Amino acid sequence: MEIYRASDWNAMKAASEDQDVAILLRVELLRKLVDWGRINSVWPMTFGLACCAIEMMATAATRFDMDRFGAGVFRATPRQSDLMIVAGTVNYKMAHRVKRLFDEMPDPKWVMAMGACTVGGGPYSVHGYHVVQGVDLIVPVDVHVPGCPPRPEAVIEGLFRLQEKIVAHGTPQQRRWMHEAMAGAPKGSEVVGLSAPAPAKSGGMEV
Amino acid sequence: MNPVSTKIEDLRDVRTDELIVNMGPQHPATHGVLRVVVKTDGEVVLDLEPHVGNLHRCKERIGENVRYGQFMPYTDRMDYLAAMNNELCFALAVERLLGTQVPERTQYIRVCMAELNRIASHLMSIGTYGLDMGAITPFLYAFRERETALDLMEEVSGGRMLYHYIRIGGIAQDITEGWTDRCRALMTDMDRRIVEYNTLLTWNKIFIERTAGVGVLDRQTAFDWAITGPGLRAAGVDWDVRRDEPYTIYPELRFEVPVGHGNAAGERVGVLGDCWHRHYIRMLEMEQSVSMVRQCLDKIDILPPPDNPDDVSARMPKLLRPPPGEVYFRAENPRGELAFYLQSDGDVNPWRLRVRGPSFCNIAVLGTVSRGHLLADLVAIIGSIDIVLGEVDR
Amino acid sequence: MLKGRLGDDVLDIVQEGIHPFVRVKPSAWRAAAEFARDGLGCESLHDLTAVDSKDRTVLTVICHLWSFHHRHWVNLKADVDRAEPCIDSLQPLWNAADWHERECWDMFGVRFEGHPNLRRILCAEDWVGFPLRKDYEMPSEYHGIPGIPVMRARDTEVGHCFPPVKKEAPPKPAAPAAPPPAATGGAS
Repeated sequence: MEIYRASDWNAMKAASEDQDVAILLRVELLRKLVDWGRINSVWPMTFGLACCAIEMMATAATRFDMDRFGAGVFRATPRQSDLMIVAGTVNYKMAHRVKRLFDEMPDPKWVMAMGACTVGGGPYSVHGYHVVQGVDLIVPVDVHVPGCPPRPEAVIEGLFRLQEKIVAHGTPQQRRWMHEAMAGAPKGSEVVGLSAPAPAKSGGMEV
Repeated sequence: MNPVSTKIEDLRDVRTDELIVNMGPQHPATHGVLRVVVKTDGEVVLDLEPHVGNLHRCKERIGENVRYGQFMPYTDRMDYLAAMNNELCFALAVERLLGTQVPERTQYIRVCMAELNRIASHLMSIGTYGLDMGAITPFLYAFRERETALDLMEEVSGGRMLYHYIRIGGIAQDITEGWTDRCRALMTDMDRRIVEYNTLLTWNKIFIERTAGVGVLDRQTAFDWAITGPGLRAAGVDWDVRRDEPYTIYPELRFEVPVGHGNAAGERVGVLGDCWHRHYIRMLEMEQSVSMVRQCLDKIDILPPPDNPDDVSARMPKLLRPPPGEVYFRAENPRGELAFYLQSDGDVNPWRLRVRGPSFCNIAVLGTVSRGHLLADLVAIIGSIDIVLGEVDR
Repeated sequence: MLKGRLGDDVLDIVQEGIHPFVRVKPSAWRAAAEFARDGLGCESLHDLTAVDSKDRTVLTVICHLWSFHHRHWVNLKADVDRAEPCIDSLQPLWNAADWHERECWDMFGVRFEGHPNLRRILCAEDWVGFPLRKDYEMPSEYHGIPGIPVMRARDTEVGHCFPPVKKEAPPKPAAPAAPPPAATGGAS
């Protein structure tokens, strides 16, 4: 994906303004293509822990059908999945396994914290001595979906927000390249698309 | 280089070592975060040890620190597939401690909800059981009916899966207009669908091959390990708390208790106490629940609703302070007998709230039952015991 | 019948009320349970648990035995010393006691003599403390993950309207330093 490297882009000295625009368009189109592919095929990992797992199953079942948004291929193994939907309470016994599964997922990977327990402890936030108060204490979370359990529509909305986030922020690897590149960029050079988050569109992608 | 001989005579003395395989807490077929450490010899299970506690959410400690009414939502989250049944058991336990009388129509509503939730829970069980075996269609079909049942319960309570509808003293609010007709429509639908599920799964040759004769849990083992619920009845023990130690209005309902007798529907399938029998008992229980819901609906329509909507529940003080005492109450949940041991010291919080989860007792027998079976059979056995980790770990 | 068999070891029989029980001496625990199984026909151990006492001197171990044949309960109670709680295991009599006793050990610290595998079952293996005792304090962290006291203290710091933790909240942090000058172009 050398086209994305800002250093390469800066190295491509455009002969004229028209060529500038031509390269701009190609980069932008390819970026859009890759994003389209990424957001419409977010493969979740079956990581149902508790009650939210049942609602996750219901979201994947016929009435709510997460598969129409591309996110229906639930992989049991972290090695083949993009999204870890932490559905259910994480407790201290389970915590290192959550971290381990997250580490085993290949980049680009995202985490959705589904349910009040993963967002901040949920109903167990006062007396639950064995409950981790929010899964963001263990893994970095991209989308929080509150509810106990969240309705399947809420889970799908979380998926939409995640899709917007993927388009806006790119993947962690992309951001890393960006930072590397911007470290050596001359002043005033702009790179298309990746430096600032795009304004969030309401309602999510066209479906 | 010496080629490895493939003649069977030369391979006879090859040593096959034992291997310890971890069926980890993250697994598509363990019905939640159950970890099973299996010692295998090739594909054959020699011994195994279930490790539970990955969903321990400290319910008993929470019970000592919140009030009786505040604990009700936590009962939902124990057996989250049969939330109404849990709520009913807890409400009845506290009401027995208090000596409250709940209005008759409300009792019928509560039992109707409990039986409706039993249907939903069994649908989920058979759906995921098929899914574990590799049959995806029954899962999607079961969820279709489950969604309708969940719609009905959402209408009255506001929650799809965890309701907090049955309260101590009665219910949260009365049922909506026309609810009984919609429920009857679902029951009519269920008659057809149960036949469909039986055709798809129960009498399916592949399903029978995978479950008949597998994981036999006989009568003596069931007593020794305190197995309750469909597992006990599939072993041939004719025992159901709803009929034999009845509570609320179960004495008024006419129903049969399906018990395994090795001769299902005129055919000899498998062995008494195997996975197939446990599954079949669940299917028959669904039929009985449909009949019970119909009876409850008839009674709900006949009995007049209270004039004041607040009177749908018994009059309870704002702060419940049961007199000092203790109670041990059990109810028949879809997975077995859920029991609450409440000890009150006169305060607003219980002194001790013990939950005896049926799945906790049922899963302990996994090692005994699955010795000598194959790893794939282990999945069948776990699915047939039908546990919910929320109840195991509380 | 139980009294006749065990004599002085039976301390108390409560017959009336919704929860009749028999209180026995801890030393007679196994004998009483064995008599319940063989003499009174209790085939299954329905539940086994413990209760902390108000004056923090004893832990009451209670077990509920059910007889299918005779349709009756035998509820046994025994008070064990809280400092050194130790009682016979019922695992040789009913296998169901196996996991119940492990849970009792996990939650209360009651040691069961003769149990083949007395380990923590619900809490993590290296958990410290017995959670269901009344004087249990929640850990403030476990292997680097902050626990409830820390998290709820953070809530009160921020001004979150949450019931504050019983102990005094940590002092408010000092006023933040002047914000650093804006970085140029994100260079670090």
